[in-house]
Amino acid sequence: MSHLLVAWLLLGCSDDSSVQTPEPSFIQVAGTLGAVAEDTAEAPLSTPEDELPFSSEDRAIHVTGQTLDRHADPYPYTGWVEVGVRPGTLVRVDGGQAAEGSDEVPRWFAEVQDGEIDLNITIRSGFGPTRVWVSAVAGPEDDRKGGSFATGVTEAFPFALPSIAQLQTTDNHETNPLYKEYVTLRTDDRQVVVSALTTNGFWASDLDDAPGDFSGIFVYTFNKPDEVSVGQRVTLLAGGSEEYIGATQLGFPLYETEQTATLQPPPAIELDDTTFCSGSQPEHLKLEALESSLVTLPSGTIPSEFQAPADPTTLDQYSDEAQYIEYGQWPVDTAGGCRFYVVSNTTVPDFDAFEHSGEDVGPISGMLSYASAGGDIWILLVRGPEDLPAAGSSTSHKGAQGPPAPTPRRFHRSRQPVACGHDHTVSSH
Amino acid sequence: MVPQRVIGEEPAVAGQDIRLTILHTSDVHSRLLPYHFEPSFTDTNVLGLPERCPDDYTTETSWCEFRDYEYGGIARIGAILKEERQRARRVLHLDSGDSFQGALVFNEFSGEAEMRLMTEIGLDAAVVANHEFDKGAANLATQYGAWGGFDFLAANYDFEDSDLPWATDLEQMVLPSRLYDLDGLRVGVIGLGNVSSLNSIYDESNSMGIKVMEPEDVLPAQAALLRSQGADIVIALSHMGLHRDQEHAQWVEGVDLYIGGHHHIATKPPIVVTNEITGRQIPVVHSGAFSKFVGRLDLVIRDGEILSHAHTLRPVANYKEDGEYQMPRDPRVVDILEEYQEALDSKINTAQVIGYAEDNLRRYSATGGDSMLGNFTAEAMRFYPGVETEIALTNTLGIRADIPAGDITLDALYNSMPFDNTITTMFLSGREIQELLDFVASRSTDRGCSSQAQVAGIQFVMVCDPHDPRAEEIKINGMDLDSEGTYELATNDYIAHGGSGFEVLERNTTQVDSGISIRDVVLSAIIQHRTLPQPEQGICTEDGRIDARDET
Repeated sequence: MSHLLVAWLLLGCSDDSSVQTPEPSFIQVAGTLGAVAEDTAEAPLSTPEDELPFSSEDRAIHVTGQTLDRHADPYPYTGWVEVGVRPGTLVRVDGGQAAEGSDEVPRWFAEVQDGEIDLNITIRSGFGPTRVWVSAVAGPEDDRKGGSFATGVTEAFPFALPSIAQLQTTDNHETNPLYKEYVTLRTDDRQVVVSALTTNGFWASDLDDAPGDFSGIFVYTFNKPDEVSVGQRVTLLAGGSEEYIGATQLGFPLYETEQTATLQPPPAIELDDTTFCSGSQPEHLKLEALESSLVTLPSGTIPSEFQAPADPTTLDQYSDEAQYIEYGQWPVDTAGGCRFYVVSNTTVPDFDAFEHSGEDVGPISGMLSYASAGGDIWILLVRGPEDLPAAGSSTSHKGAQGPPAPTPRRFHRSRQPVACGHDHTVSSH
Repeated sequence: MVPQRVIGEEPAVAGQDIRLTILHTSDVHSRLLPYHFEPSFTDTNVLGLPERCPDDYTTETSWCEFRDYEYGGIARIGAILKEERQRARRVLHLDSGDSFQGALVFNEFSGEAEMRLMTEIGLDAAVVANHEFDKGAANLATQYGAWGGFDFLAANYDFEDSDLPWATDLEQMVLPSRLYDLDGLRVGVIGLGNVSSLNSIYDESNSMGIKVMEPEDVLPAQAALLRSQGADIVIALSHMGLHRDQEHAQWVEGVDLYIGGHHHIATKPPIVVTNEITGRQIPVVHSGAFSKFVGRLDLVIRDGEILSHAHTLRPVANYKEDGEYQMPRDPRVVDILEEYQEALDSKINTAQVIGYAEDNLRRYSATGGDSMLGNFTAEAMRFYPGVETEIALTNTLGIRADIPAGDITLDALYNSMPFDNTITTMFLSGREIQELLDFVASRSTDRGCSSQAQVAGIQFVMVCDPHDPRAEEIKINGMDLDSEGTYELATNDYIAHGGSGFEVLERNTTQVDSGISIRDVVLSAIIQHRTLPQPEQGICTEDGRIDARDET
């Protein structure tokens, strides 16, 4: 018998009409949940009625299962599996191996012997129906080299949906625990209110949390949202968790509000120097809790050196003056010398900050936003003339060097000299 | 017969978890060759497209590299698709349409290259979208008939006029849906072509002999048909745009997943919509445009239900060192592409430098009003010898891309102005000018108060009020608009024929098609001015002639 014939028989007598597929063909897995990573006691998976609380803390899961062949019979697979969790974050696989993944999220791999899957993993930030994935792959080095890609998922862990505060609470003011997830936020058992409107979105605040305790979020709708007004209760709120230059927002949102405005938005929080600034520097983490909430600066002086330039074309493009001319953003210093920025050109168009250089124009109110570009700055987005009483006493009108005509965009400072504003461009001919 | 990928003994799929991988492209728009452009903030920071360091940077940072990145290109896409297929078992590559129109290769070869290369990269199915008809329905039938090796789907297009020679061909070529058997997993795919854009080409009853139906009128029946044929899941492959896909996901029963395009949006993460009838979670994914991204959606399906999904978006970019691309390209695609590149080079030197851009020449304005390229184009149209009208107006979306800073090449011009539109002149009364600009305000109100037209010789305030969109304070060459006056307008033949809903132009009986290519006019103007922008002369700059006021 020739070697070629032996090989043909070993391969299962395949011919042109039959293509061998790698095994395993299927994977069946189940999971049991520990309370927290440190708690080794296991509990059976809850029933759907027993909703698990959302948590951005680590939680342990024990995953067991087996690999199956094409007939759904046990198959003694020995090799690598890739482990994941959707939605949520896989923190680690005990005894596993991490490899570089996309979007700086590591991929986790583990070895399986004789088809028996027995893994201890740690996850966080699962929400809604959350499942663990186990897939047969070639290994962490290069998964293009084979693997059957048979995949099994656990039954869903019924985690609760996160509240606005649970999405927003972070110890890193430039990100959030659910970054890049499409998330539905808890609204059905909470009082979530439309707290302010702008030309391309609205702010929502959760009244069940303390004002300014990570309880606000911006919902970016591109156009002004239809049939939404301040004071309406939000009954559905979902969207992609995005960081727009460090400011958290929901992109491509789905939302519903009650028709009549029945709720009172939370009051403004005063930004005092001693709490929110360290000397002349803003305290980022404390201010992060106020992001997308209404705040008030009791006083704020436009720096005297902030002057209309004789020749705008010679300005440093990153200077406050250039940014003001380009985007309408102007600086104010608190009594303690802590600098904030204000955008009022869309809502108080007649106010020209150049003409108030050196003046205390406080109090100033606005929805607080953040921009990581241009020096990690905090910006008050003025809602209207009532937020900037100094404008009422102004006799000035927009000058040639003043802010641009009212723009339809929420201000965002760009890292580069490019057009500001969102660019979820909608295009078709 | 249901096409099968694996022939042999049927696997015992009942009750088992089955993984399906969907590779997704959309709105390639003839970007078969890689190109330069300045990525937007969203492109880089949200979607992951690599960014080139600015010229004045001396060190790399976390957000930029010293690479002269080129973006897009079908050879790189082909290599990415091969890699992703090696990382999967049950795979479909689906494209959401508009592979035609957007670069010189389409102007010269009428879609042949797109059909041939989309076939070469292993595309399984594409939806028939509006730009596929840019050189006519007959051309589409010819190109697909000669080169198409994938399923062409559109359940809502009825090629109804059998007197038209191409209608019978397209009727046979274009399927409403298709069922794929992927080693025991049966996947139904329904095509949904665009409604509004196709209708707007020649108004409600378009002259291509195509009856366009609303998706909600065809989806349930097609989904039911596929289920009766054994489909485990049903996918809508759509060119309806994101908002319509979301609506259908919420309200139409029977579809498990929407893979879409048309608005050039890339969803990352994918949108998840709860269907109001079934309560199921329906993913909606779009993968952007101009061959910048390849989407990958992995689904775990058990007994006909999607249990979980995971999504990644792979950026399409490449760069050269010592003249060689550093990221893999599909060699077979490269070979085919070289045929077209050589043919193009023999006709036109696409690398020819025609001017210099000191800054990125933007097609959109940061404020929603007039834009650098819009003003430059409209002025070039208005003043071109033989045209010389008082005013000009062209649609913003006729300019498809920014012209990046640096040398301006013919290739960059074609990428920015791919359409072969010509200048049409006509006389309008002052009242008609008011109506025209009111329409611009109305159309712009629905699009973020971003002006949908660019003008020359006209200044106005565009009030984006959804209850009363309107143009105010209209001035014609510095003078108040005279409602009883008569003005000569230069515009493009697309909107002159009523495209994008410009009915006030369509009904005008004084139209004269000059036959002068708008791209040639802009080319001439770039050569004339050499360096752009020229702020001191007000050339290629935003000057506030369209003052966008958002009162939504």
